[in-house]
Parts: sequence; structure tokens; C-alpha cells
Amino acid sequence: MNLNKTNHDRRWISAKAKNMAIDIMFYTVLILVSLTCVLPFIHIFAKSVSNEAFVVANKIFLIPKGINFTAYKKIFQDMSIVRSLYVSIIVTLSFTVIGMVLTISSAYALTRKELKGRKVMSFLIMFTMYFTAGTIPDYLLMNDLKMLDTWWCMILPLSFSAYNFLIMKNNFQSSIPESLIESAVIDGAGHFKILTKIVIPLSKPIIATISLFYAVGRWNAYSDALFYIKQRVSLRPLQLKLYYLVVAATESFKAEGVAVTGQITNPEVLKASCIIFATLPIVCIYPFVQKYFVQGTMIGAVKG
Amino acid sequence: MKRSKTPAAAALYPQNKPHSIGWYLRRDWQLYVLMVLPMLFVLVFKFLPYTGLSIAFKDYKVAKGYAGSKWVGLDIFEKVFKKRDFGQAVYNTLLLNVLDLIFGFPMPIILALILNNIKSKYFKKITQTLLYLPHFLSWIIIGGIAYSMFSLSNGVVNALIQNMGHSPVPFLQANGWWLFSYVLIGVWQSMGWGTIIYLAAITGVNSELYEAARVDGAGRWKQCIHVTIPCIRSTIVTLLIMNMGKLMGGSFERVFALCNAKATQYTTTIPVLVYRWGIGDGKFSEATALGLFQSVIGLILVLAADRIAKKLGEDGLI
Amino acid sequence: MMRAMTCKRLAALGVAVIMAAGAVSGCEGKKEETATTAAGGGATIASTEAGGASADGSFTDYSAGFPENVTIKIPVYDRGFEGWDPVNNYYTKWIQKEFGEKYNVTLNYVAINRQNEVTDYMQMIAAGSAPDIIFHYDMPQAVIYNGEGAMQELNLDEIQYYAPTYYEKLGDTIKKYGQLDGKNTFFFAGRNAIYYNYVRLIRQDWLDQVGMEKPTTREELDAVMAAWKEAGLGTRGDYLINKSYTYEYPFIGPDPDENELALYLDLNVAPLTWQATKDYLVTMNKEFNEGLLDPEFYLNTDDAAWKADFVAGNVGTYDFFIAANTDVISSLKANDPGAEVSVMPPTVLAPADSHPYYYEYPPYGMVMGVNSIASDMQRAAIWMFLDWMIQPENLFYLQNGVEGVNYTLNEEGIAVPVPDFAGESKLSNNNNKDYWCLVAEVADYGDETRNFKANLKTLAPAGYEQLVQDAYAYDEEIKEYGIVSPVFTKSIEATNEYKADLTAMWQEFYVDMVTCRPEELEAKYDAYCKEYLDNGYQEILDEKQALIDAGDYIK
Repeated sequence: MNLNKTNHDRRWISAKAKNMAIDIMFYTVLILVSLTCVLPFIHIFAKSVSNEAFVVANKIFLIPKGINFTAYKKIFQDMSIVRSLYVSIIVTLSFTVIGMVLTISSAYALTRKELKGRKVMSFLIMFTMYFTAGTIPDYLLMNDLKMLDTWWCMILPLSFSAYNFLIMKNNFQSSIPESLIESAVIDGAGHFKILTKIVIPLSKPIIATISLFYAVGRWNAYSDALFYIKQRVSLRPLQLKLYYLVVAATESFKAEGVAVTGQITNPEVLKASCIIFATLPIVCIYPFVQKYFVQGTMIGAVKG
Repeated sequence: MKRSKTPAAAALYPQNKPHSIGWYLRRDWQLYVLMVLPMLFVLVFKFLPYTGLSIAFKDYKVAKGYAGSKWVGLDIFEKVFKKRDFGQAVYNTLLLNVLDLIFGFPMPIILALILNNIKSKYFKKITQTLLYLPHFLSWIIIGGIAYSMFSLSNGVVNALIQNMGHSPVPFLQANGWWLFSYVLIGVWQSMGWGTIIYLAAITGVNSELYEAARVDGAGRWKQCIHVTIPCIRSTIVTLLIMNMGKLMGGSFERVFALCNAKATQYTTTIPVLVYRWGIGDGKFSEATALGLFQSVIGLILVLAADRIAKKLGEDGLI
Repeated sequence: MMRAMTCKRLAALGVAVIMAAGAVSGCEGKKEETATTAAGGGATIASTEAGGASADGSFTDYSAGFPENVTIKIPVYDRGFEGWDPVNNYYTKWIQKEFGEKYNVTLNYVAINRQNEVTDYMQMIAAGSAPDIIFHYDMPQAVIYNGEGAMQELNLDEIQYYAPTYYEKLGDTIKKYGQLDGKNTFFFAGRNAIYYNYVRLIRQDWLDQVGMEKPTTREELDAVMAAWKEAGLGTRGDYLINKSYTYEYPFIGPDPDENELALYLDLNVAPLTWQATKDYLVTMNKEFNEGLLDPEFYLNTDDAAWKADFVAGNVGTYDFFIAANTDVISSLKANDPGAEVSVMPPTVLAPADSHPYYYEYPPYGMVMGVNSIASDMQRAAIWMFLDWMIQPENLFYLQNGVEGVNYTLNEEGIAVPVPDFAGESKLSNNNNKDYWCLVAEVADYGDETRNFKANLKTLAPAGYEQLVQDAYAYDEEIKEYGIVSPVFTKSIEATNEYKADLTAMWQEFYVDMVTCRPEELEAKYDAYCKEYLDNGYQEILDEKQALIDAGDYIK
């Protein structure tokens, strides 16, 4: 009997040791990989507070040399930056809200097998993920709809993403039990009610995820605003404004035979600080979104 | 997801009885209302511009517009397929995307599973935030950093290697190594952001299932295999099918930022050609034709993958 | 069950295909409407309203103003200068007051994104909202715009009538260079070319360290590099050549054949098969293999990369367009306090037995065309606008601002800008260049000495005027060796067709040939030349030769 006990203890200890070894391995792997992910940002931050001369010579790696904050001062001194920040926030918020309304409605509706035309509509939406018309046709459409130089051209065209739709539809299909919805139907609930009272409360993780995808996608992109917002300079989103800031500093109009008057701009340092300035806000949002990734929302939802 | 066999379900899903469209509209009007706006968006913002795809069949002159340009049928396609770089581009595109699929697709899944096993909330939060940082860097920036790290004469990594007594490695300046670096950097850039979707799916897993598995004596590994993975299987399959359609596509910026004039074997891809002919040269007809070719192949692949998935019992994409 | 599902699937696919096809062809009707109204017919000039050339060739006089208000859209580059609205500022208002109100014209400035200008233009041309002047600095791109149907044919007599001063200055240039396929298509801004703003810096302190003189020929340059290599200093810097091909000029040889020059000199397509290129490649290959050339020169795809190497002390030479506010020298000194720079003569690129030929700028700056949908009155307004702008007092005002406020005139009559002026009449960060670039490339005081003195202020960093002086002196010495790129009066189809692909091939081929072992070069050159010719270059050469034989080019 004693032998059995020690054997059992041995197995238990070795199991515990194995668990700890695995834990250590996981932690190490994650730490190493996270380091590789954050080091480039540390490098960029170091560049943004260093002396331009060293940055130009590519001598800055992780430690800044000749620390100064002139680039950041330049960014904050520019009043139009605040305005473009405001534009970006409004655009991103509206874009995300509209996108989520469209995506949730269509994702739910197209999981209902009784819906006639369901396959066709799903196919049409998916089709748009692989076929694009090009910059000129898109521009012509914006022109015809008179949306150029307005808020709408940044908010509407891309707000319904086929990719996000498909992910959400799949998530609804796999994580919301059909029996739950059936019992609601039997109880006489209409689809609006089912969507708002059952599906949405149970789908917090995926809603948080897709909202994040929409918000980040809209925040980072500026190539549409680049061509759609021409005359109304005050309507430029932050990323576009920063793009211009860096471009203006590096522009080699010297080749055109006329030199630039005005103080020396610091293109390399400015570029780095613009990246930090534009990325920080959106990066900070994720920790707040994380709280929706809570397990166990399904306990007790389905009864007999 | 199997269709329920309860009598109520049978009443909900009548078998092949002919009904008028009005009957369906009346029964499911709420669902149709839900679909009105999304379909409107899709039709207006996506399908209306598709008339521009006609450029691929015309000798497009920008000032003449779609209608004013002469119809040439498949001439443009013929020209595109005969171009010197076309064959190489198709091969390279497939190669790069397949490699991405093999090495890049599983990484977020593995990371998500590892993260799921971490108990400390703070560690998890911090790590996740750090992991997805590369997603926010544009490829131009990444390219610049990659070259300052990996270049033969001035790169930091090669300086370290030389210090250790070995000869420098042409990470980006020899063809084979370039391929390796391209895939590695691509995986690095996207893996953190990719974990988000899997983590969202994992939190949807009923914790009672884990309890049951633990009671049955399953260790962490077995729990992972038998509980976690099956529950996120449909997410994995969905993303896999979607990525199938991107096999003929790919990112132009990624190749452009990492390419150089020395290691050129793998750097001509279809997006590169679309850029070179479209934006570089203003040959919109060729660029659109190539884009159409890409899209059609992508669609065929997606539909094929979808059908295979459905045959294997999965839900499929549409 | 299965059959039902497959049927549904097929039906869905069928519907989708039909819808897609419908979308493609059905909406054609709508697009046709838009297209015709937008394009207005590229070839046919807009309907003759009162004011076009009447049957007897006379023009309506608008010097008292247009009978009804005419709106013209003028393009202006948007370079993202902070605090500067390119379409609405002190100077656009001044222009509207001085010109617009006088002649009953409304000028609308249209911002063109400088970095992506071609896409910007193409989109606007497609939408019919492009400005009335279509411009570009490079002739090849202007030719492409014309090929897309964006420009209309010009009547030179009309230009002379409405813009006599402008025509006096630029008429010859327009007559000579503005014709394409037999039609007058382009008009230009004048250019009084300067070359001394492009300097070739060399590390003087490194020269002193190895005790050598500044090199003046390619052989001397290589000797200096060899000495630097011995001493463990840096190499010669260079960059990846992928456009504006003028690398072969120093290797042309002492007695170039006119036919060959016309055939091979081309800014668009590198003349890989020419002997000059082969000599260039042989020289570069030798420099690379002997360790004299920066081994990673091909990674320098933009100015910043080469600059970084120079500032860090990895390479000892750097070629660039100098400007007063450049930070190259100050950054260099910050990294290496003992560094000194001086300027090399342009002859240094050519072998001793060759002549230092260089690319001579054509006598025009901005290449412009009139939008194909511009009306007769709008066109007349454009000519009058150009004529107004080229009047010396107007041009000077635009270039310098208000006298006594923005600048003061020194004893030589050169405008000296008030430093850090921030008043209402502040010029744009590049001296309003984007407004007066329609008529001129640089400020012109009439004689070369004063021009040089004026330019010196904007080109030379404080304390380094000697660099620009030296560059000026060197350029004077080799003045006679400028070769103008041949201009063909018909567009060359083959070039438009193959340009982009040949550029990609050129980069791959020439980098491989420079970096390979010397004994491999000959074989590679033959193989690459064949591939180059087979994939479009032969067609280009044939088409060009036909034009040369027919005399369709300007010498």
C-alpha cells in the first residue's frame, strides 16, 4: 500500500513538474516573441527623440542619441493636427457603428436557413471580396454620387466588409445553438427580438473583435482620403495629415531648381514621431476591448 | 450544424412545397428588412463600379471613358498572358502565398492556444498587446527596418554573426534567403493580430466542456486537442477557405518594400505587375485584365474549397 | 435533398453570373451618358462658341474682358506645406484681383497631389473634372496624357494673338518641341537651365589623409578609391539607376555618330545594347570587384539611403541637388567632426580618353496641354492668363512678394528675402514656384551673373558658398559637351508598350552584371542583350530608326 501511495505521489509530482515545465516553455516563447514585436517600436521611438544627424546616418538602434523633442513639438504646434485627430475619431466611430449595424444584421439574417435567396445574397457579398474594380471606377462612383470632399466618402464605401461579415456569420452559426433560436421562435419571438435579445448578448467576443477590426482598419487607412479629399484641407484624417507632413519634409523639389525657404525640417525624425503619434491611440484601445473576451457566457443558456 | 429534427423545426422548414415570393416575404419580412441596407451597400459601392471591369476588354483611353473606348475582346488578355514576366509572376505568386499558408496560417492558432493556457491575466494582456504591434507598421517602415537589420554590410544581425566568427548571411540579397526572410517577416507581422479572432472563438467555448474533460482525466494537451480545437474548428475552416481565394493575390507593398535589384527570382508577382502596368505606366486595360484574371482564379479556388469543406462535413462559407 | 441543394447552388451561381454580366454591360448605358458628357469627344474640339477662330482666321478681342464670366481651372501642386492652403491664399486672391477681375475671369485652383499626381490626373480626366491645363514636368508622361485623349490640338496663331509676350519668349520652343504626330499639342514654361545645383561631394579630409589630389577623370577617381581602400576608409557611393537614363553619357566616346545618338539616347529606356553602356558596365564591374564601389549601391533606391551612407562615413562621395537648407554637411560633421567636403568636377565620371558629355536640359520646364473639354473661351482665357503672368512685374511679384515687406532689393537689384518673414503675404515654402511654374522654371534677372548671385543664396548652405562656386566654374568648363536628348515628333508606340517591363529587366540585368565576377561579364552581357532585344527593345529601335530615316526628329 505504501508503494502505491509513493507511486501515485511520484506520478502526481512528475505531472506537476511537467506542467510547470510546459508553463515555463510557454512563458519563454511568449516573452521572446513579444520582444521581437515590440523592439521595432522601441527603435522607432528612439529615432523620434534623437538628433537628426544620427538618425540620418542610421546609427540609432534602441537607445536614442542627442535626445530632443523638436519633432513632437512640431506635431503638437500644428493646430491642424488637432483638427485632423478630431476628423479621424468622428470618421472611425461612425464607420465602426455603421459597419457593425450592417454586419450584425446581415450575418444573423443569412444564418437563417429558411430565408429564400440566402445563398445568392451570401454569394454576392463574398464575391465582392475577390473582385475589385480599380481606383478609377471607384473615383468615378464617388464623383457621380457627389461624395468627394465630404465626410461620407470616408465613411460609407468601405463600411460593409465582406471579410468581417463572413467571420461573424460563421461565428453565429457555430456558437449559437440552433435549439435556442428555435425555442424562441416557438415562443413567438420575431427575428428582430431574437437578434437583439438573444444573439447579440451571447456574441460579445465576436462583436468586440469585429468592431476592433473595423476601427483599426479605418484608422490606419488613408489611401482613399488621399484621392477623395482634395479641396477641403480641414477634412483630412490624421494618417493623411501625417503622410503630408512627412512628404513635405522629404520632398526633393531641389530637383526642380528652386530651393525651399523656411527652417530646416527633420524628415527622418519627423517620420518616426509621426508613426508613434498615429499608432499610440489605436493601440491603447485593445486592452479596453479585451474585457469582452470573457469565458463562460454560455453557462446555463441552454436548458433541456 | 445539424438541422434540428424536432416537430417545431419541421414546421419551420417545410420540405419543397411551392410557395409564392409573397408568402416568403410575408413570413420572413423581418429578415428581409435586415438585409435591405447591407445589400444596398454592396450593390451601390461594390457592384456599380464593376462596370469599370469592362476596361479589360477595351482599348481604354481615359478621356474617352468606358463607352467611348474601342472594344477589343480578349486581345488584352492575350497580350498579358504573352508578356515575358507573366508566367514567372503566376508561379511566384502561388509560391509565396502557399508558403504563407503553410507557415503563416498555423502561427496565430498556435499562439492563441498558448495564450489560452496562460493563467496570469496581466501577462496575457501585456503580451497580446505587444504581439499585435507589428500589424500597425506599414510595409515601407518594416522594409526599412528589415534592411537596416539584415543587410550584408551594415546589418546588425550580420554584424553579430560576423562577431561570432561566421561569414555574413545574405538574408535579403540572395534568392533562397530572400524567400525565407520574406515568409518569416510576413509571419511575424501578422501572427499577433491573427490571434485575436481565434481568442474570440476560444472564449465562446463552453467551460463546462473543459470541466467534463478534466473530470475524465484529460491533461492540458488532451483538453486542447479534444475541447479547444474542435470548438474553433469552424473558424479555422472559414479563414482557410477565405485564404484559398487569396492564393492568386497578395500584398504589393510587402513585396515592394522587401525587394531589391539583386534577389529578383521571386520578387515579380501578380500584384507587382498590376502596379507596374497600372500605376507605373498608366496601362489600365492590362492592369484591370490581370486583376480580373486574379479574381476569377480566386473565386474558383474559394468555391472549390467551400465545396470540399462541405463534403467533409463543415459548414462552408456560403 | 442533395439535388435540391445542388440546384440551389447552381441557381445562385447562375443568378450571380447574370447579375455580374448585367452589371458590366447593362449599366453601360448610364456610363455612356456620363462618358459622352464628360469627354465631350476627345478628338472633336468643343463647339465653336463666339470667340473661336472664325472662318477668316481672326480672333475675338477680349482685352476689355469677356462678355460673360469665364471660369478656368488651374492646377497647382499640393505639397502638404503646413499652414498653407494651395487653392486659397494671399496669392490666389491677388491673382484673382489683378487678372480675374480685370478680364471677367474666375480662376479656380485645383490641388494636385504632388506624390501621386498621375493617378490624381487620370481620375479627374476620367470624371471630366480635370483642370483646364494638364501638365507634367516630364515629356514622356505628357505624351501619355495626350495618348489617353486628354488634350486638344492647339492653334499657334491663337496663342500669338492672345499671349504676345508669352509667345515672343516661348514661341520658338513651342513650335520646335510642342508638335506630336503632326499636331501642335504642347506648350511650355521657359527654362533657363542651371547645372551647378547638382554637385558631387567628396570627402576632402579623406583625400588629405591619403595625400591625393581631387580626381578629374574616372581613372583618377578609381586610384583615389584604391588608396581609400588601403587606408580602410569608405568606398565610392552610387545609387540604383531605374529612370531618367543618363548614366551612359560620360562613356559615349570621343566622336559620337549622330545616328547612334538619336537612336540610343533615351530617358525612358536604358540603351543596354549600346557600346557606351557596355563600357559603363565594364568600369562598374571592375570597381565593384576591386572593392572600390559601395557593395550595396543597388539598395540605394532613394536619396535618403545614399545620404545615410555618406553621413555615416561608409562612402566618401555623394551626388545630389544642393540647397541652402540641406542638412547633409551639418549631419556629416555631427557624426564625424573632422569631416570636410569639396566638389568634384563632372569630368570625374568619364574616362580620360572620352569627353565629359552630359545631359543638356531642353529649353522648357513644365510641359502643358489644354484639356480636351475646355471651350474656346476658356482656352483664350488661359492664353491671356499666361501672358499676364509672364509680364515681368507680375512674375517678380509672385516670385518674391511685396517689396519692402517680403524682401528688399540690394544694390544689384536682386531681391533679398527678409529672414523668417511670417506676415500675410508670406510666400509658399518653395517660393510660390507652383504658381509661376506655368511660365518659368527659375527666377530670371536677365543676365547670367545676377542669376548666379541670386541662386547662390538659395543653393549654398551658409559658409559653403565655395561649393556652388566650384560647381559653377566646373560646369562652365564643360559647357560645350552638353547633348540634348533627341525629340521625336511622333510618339513611339513601342516605348509606351514596353517601357515598364524593360525598366524592370534593366535593373535586374545591370545589377547582376556589375556584381558578377569579371570573367562572367562578357557572356552575361551577350545573353542579357539578346533577352532585352527580344522583349521589346528591338521593336523600339526599329521604330526609332524608321523615324530617323524619315527625318521625324529634332536634332
